[in-house]
Amino acid sequence: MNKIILAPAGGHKTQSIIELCHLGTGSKNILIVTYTTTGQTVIEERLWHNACFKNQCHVIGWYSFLLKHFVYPYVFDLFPEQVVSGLHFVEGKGPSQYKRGAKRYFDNSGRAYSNNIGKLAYDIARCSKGACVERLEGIYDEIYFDEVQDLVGNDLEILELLLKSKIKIIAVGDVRQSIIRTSRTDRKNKKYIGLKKIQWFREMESSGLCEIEERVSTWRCNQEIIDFADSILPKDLQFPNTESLQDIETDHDGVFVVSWINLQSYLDRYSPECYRHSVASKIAEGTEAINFGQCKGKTVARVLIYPTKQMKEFLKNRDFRLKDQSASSFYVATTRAEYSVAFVVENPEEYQIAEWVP
Amino acid sequence: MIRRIHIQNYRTFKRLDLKLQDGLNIIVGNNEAGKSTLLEAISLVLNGRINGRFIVDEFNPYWFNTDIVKEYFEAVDRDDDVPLPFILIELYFRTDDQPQKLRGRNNKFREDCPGISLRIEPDLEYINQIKTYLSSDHPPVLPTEYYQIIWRGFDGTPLNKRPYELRTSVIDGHTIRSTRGIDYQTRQMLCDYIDEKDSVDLSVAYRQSRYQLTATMLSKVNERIKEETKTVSNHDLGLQMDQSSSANWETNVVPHVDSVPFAMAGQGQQVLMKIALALKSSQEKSNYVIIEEPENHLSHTSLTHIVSLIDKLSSGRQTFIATHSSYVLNRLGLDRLILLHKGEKAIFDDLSQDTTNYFKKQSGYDTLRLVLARKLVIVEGSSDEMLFNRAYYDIVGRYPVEDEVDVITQGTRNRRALELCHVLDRSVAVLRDADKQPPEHWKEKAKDYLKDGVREMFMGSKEFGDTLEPQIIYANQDREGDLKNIVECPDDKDLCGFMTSNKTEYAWQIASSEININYPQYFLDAIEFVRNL
Repeated sequence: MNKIILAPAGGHKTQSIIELCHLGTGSKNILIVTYTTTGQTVIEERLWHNACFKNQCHVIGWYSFLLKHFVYPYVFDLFPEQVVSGLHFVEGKGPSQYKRGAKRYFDNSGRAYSNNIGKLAYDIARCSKGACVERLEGIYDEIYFDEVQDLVGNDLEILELLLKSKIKIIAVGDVRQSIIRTSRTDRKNKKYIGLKKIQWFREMESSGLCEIEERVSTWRCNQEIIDFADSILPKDLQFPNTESLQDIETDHDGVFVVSWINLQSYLDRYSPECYRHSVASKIAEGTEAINFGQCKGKTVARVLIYPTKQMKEFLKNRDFRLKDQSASSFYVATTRAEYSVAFVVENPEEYQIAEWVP
Repeated sequence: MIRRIHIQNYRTFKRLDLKLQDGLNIIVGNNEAGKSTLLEAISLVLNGRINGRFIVDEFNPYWFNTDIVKEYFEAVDRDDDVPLPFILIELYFRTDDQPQKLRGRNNKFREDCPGISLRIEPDLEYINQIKTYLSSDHPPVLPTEYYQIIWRGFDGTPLNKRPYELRTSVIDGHTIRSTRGIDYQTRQMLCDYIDEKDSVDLSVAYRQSRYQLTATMLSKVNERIKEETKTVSNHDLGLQMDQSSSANWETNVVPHVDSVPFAMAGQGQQVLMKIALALKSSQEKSNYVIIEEPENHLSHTSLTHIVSLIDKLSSGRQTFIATHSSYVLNRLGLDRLILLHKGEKAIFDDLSQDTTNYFKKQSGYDTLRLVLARKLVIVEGSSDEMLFNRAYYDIVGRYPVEDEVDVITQGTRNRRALELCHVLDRSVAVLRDADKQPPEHWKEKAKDYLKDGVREMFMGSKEFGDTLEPQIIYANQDREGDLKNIVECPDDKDLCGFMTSNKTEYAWQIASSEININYPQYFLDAIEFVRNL
């Protein structure tokens, strides 16, 4: 049975994939599809580390997956004359949005635009009259998708095609962490964007294509941090509460606010990893910080966050509803930490959160 | 299973599109017909190697079909804007064949199936260099240094090594005499016997022993060298055993046959060994077997043995054999035949079912003669054959065989042979009896296969007799006595009746007689026709 495993940050999602790779008698062909290149490297390293030689496991990025298994083999079913030469990575809208025909999907040298590749691949799959899927069935027994929450638009159609195939599909992810996505321009399945992706998974489950396994344990964050992180998410989406299995005690555990005055001593004492919204965010002089968008997938002991205005609003008033996108970013940043999370604020007394003082 | 091969502009083949069969495929043709080239093309695309070396290292201007190159440079001389020639070789597997990862439509016919293509084409990165070359005073040789080699699956992804599912055993008749032991393919086959663990153990032990030699025996030598050269150089000079990758154990292992190094074994024995090796490697490990002229260097007894081995080999593996031997062909089955002629194909597919069945019943020898002859004369019976040979000798001064004219007896089924010649586009003269019909009647019946100046039919007019004997008597009507003497016909017998009831004997008498007789006009016409071919 196909399975979608949803687990919180630190819920051993990647670990589950590695474990799945070791299951069985060892004659399976397995493909592991991840969205980020970081994810790809992490899985490849762990597979090596665990010496997974039993099954044939291959790791591939999402765009390469579409390119290699849909576009290259069957592009001629859609565009009979098209020459394909690779991928043209597009951030945001891209140059081809108003073009028609093959020009919408390929640049002049035949590279496929990444923002439209989901639609391209799906259209090719349909035109191939099942050949695409049949071919994949001939190559792989099982396909695992990591970070499945990042798939949007036509990617979901492709996932649905595969859920209907003979291949056993296992997808892991965390809808709460929907901060990046494969395409910013794909309009299809718009109602499932971001945190609402959970609805799509539930629909797949009710049409009998897969079962959803919701895991509620984290091995990373302590209970205080994960409770706080859970509280960031809109209540109406009914995410389950997470239970922490991490019970190490240090001299500084939990969620704190720090004033700008004490910031330097805090940094000196705990050396947290610092996260900010963007380069425009104000941070302590002479220090470094990572954008929210780049911290995904990490595990660190301590986190320090430079909150945005919206986030501060939320910190003051827990009934304040953050936009889905901000809630996800905030959730991701918070859940990197094992022991402590601290927010840098001007007036600590305005918050109902313990203030750290030296 | 390779079900189709498509070749363009590669060596003998301007354009070849062949359907291949499961199991055995027997490739037959004259020298220069492209048998070896076809086998070479298959192994080239399957392995990405030729003669054990990578394509890039071996590729040269002579890989191109000479006609194509000639046409190209003629067009260039006329200032026609023509694209540089390319080479294309594609192997099409069955749609449900493994490996499915090679499946897609990246092939000439946009077929959806697994497959591999090799395309050698001008690299447009070098467009300026190419233009400069072509606009200079250049020889009629293609600038292959500006070509790129694209070896990829039908899925569109480039291959950098042979897909491990596609094992090929190549057995060529060439004998190995080099002291390096064995060729690449044989080494591959042998290495299939060594599993991963053995291989690792061997590798460690081998390196260890080399290291030991350096550390022990060579260290004394090195001390001495160091001592004697220190006045010349500030650096330590010395010797050590080669530890580079070229010093792998694989390249230093030599197979033995009954304790005799492989290279020292007899030619026939080498071929036998190679076939036995290919046979023993499991089917998963070698799905394709390529055998070139297995009959070379073999005694008839060994050949019998080999043919039965090949028979076993081809069950479950697709096997390609090039052969000159009618014995091989006959034993392994005519329906497996692929005929090549001057870089073009003719397969039994193109023949009518009746004709195919007919040739299946024939001995392979006769069919081979039909296929391989340069100029053909088809006659009905052995008496016609003997008389035609003699007539040719009387007129030309040589026997037909000396002029590469093959005279073949095909009985009354000459139309089958004619159909085969038509498919092969062979030149042929067919001699037949009138059988109560005017020549036009027979020509009309065979008209689909005849072609003026290429394939013609010759027969006597029916007024002079239905068969050969009255035709001869008519041609010699003013010297019937001579004829009676030559054929030793008793005086009291009717000449025609005597000849008709002693066909072989009278023909032999005429053919070996010291006196020349006259021949029917259609014999003379046929000889004239054949000489002009």
